[in-house]
Amino acid sequence: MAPILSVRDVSRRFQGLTALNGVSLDVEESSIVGVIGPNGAGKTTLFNLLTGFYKPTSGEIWFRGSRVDGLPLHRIAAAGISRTFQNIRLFSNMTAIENVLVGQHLHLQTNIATAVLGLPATTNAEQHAVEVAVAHLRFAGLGGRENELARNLAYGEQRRLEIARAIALRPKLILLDEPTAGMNPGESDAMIGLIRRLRDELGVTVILIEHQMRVVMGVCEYITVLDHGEVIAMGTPTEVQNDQRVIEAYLGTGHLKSGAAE
Amino acid sequence: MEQWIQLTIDGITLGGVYACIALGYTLVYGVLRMINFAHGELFMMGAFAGVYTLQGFQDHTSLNEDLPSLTITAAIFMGIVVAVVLAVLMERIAYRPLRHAPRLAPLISAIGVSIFLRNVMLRYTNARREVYPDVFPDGSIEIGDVSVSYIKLFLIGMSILFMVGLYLFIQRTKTGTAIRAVAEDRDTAALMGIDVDRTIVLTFVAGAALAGATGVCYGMYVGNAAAGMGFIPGIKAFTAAVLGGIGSVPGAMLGGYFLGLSEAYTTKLFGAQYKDVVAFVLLVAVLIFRPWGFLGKREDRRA
Repeated sequence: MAPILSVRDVSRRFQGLTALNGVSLDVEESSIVGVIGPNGAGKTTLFNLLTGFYKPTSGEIWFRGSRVDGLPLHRIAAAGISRTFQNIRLFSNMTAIENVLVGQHLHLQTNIATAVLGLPATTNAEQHAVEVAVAHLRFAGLGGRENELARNLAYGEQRRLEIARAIALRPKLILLDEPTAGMNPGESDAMIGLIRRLRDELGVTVILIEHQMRVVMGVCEYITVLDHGEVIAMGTPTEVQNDQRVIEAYLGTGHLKSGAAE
Repeated sequence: MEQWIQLTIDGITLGGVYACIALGYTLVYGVLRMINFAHGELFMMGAFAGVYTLQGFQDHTSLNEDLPSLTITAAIFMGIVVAVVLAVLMERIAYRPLRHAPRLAPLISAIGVSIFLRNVMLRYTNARREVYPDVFPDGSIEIGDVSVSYIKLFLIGMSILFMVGLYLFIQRTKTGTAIRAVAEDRDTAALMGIDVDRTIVLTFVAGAALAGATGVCYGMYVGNAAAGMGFIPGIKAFTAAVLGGIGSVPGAMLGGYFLGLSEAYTTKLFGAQYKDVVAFVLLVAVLIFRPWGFLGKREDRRA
């Protein structure tokens, strides 16, 4: 089967700095893939390229059979890629449910005249949109928090809300940038469960950047290791864990242990 | 007492006009962090579109006498159309190419657009006022000793109607939600599938429609349209938007009425010649003591 995402020899340079150098990566549909690497390895740059924040200096990105590099952000979102952020970027002055409704933007139909006049046609469409949004919030474990302003939610809840908003786009691929950053082990475990359910229940392909090895090894089926903007290893968690170059990249010499990657 | 009620009514009348114009400033500021100094000119162009429409009806038909509600509606509609078309053009020609330029550049471009439009109309009218045909029924309602003319009631009513319409548009529609999302975080909004360029244009359209429609109603109220008529209301509405908290929709409405009422009471307390002084002293005071305005949000780390 053709991969859902194919990154082909992509490089990105910023003035003198090469953030990514000849990165190639295939992601199979409905897999959970981890991208790891030391700080500054180019992981977030890769996400920014995949979502259209940056254009590759060279190389191509193919998603579901069409080329997406160079497309404007909203077109890539419409093609089925959504993401969350390392430093949470919610619409903080909107309520939880409004955040999810913005995520549903592509799938909403409202007519200005009927909406302003509050006619029944809109009321039905609106009601349906709200029901769907509530379902997304429940999925992310935020049932009952619908009308809370995003900025008043607890940190862990904000991370979950970003995921609820991301799935509201009905994406085929979701990119999670350090979904468990700053979480305690219990919260991390709950997040692992949520990530699995994204794939198992929604059929979404997941790529995640993660520093906590416990999370990476626990949830990812394949792992790509970046260092200094290049792919230095790819494979199953076990293969990567035993790869000499990975061990050197992380620890110089020594062994990659659980949680040692911070 | 009657006099104070009268002044309050005057303040609400003028305040509604300020509020409707202020909404345009605040909406555009919300999505672009830019003051569209040509916004007052959209109000002026709307007033001209209205006066020419009504003059056209006057010259060629008897509809102004027979069916004034129709001709007034048509005039307001034309005011909206002209203001919207101009707003789309100015965004495309004068602002969008400067989207990534330093913040001062689009500001100066806006001042240029403002001067350009004002001078086009000065030239076209030979600096004369265009008089609104007398379509609106004269007369007033009396409540005790207080008398309120129909046209004043009309202006108060229309400005409230426009504001409620805009508020529902922003809060209830898909486009309105997109505007709010772009105002909070443009990049994230784009990642949600929102076409940011299109949303910015629609923001200009919403503000312009309001300014154009208000221009026609205001023109009917004062009885004429003139090339310079957008300047002072434009500056006052900008003041109102800042008072209320620029970027805040309820703030613009509150600021508009607050300014209108302050001016009305000043006229009584200190004399009419002081009303502009009071308006701008208020602006300065707010900028010093509460720069984010009554209802605005403190901007921390916004680029």
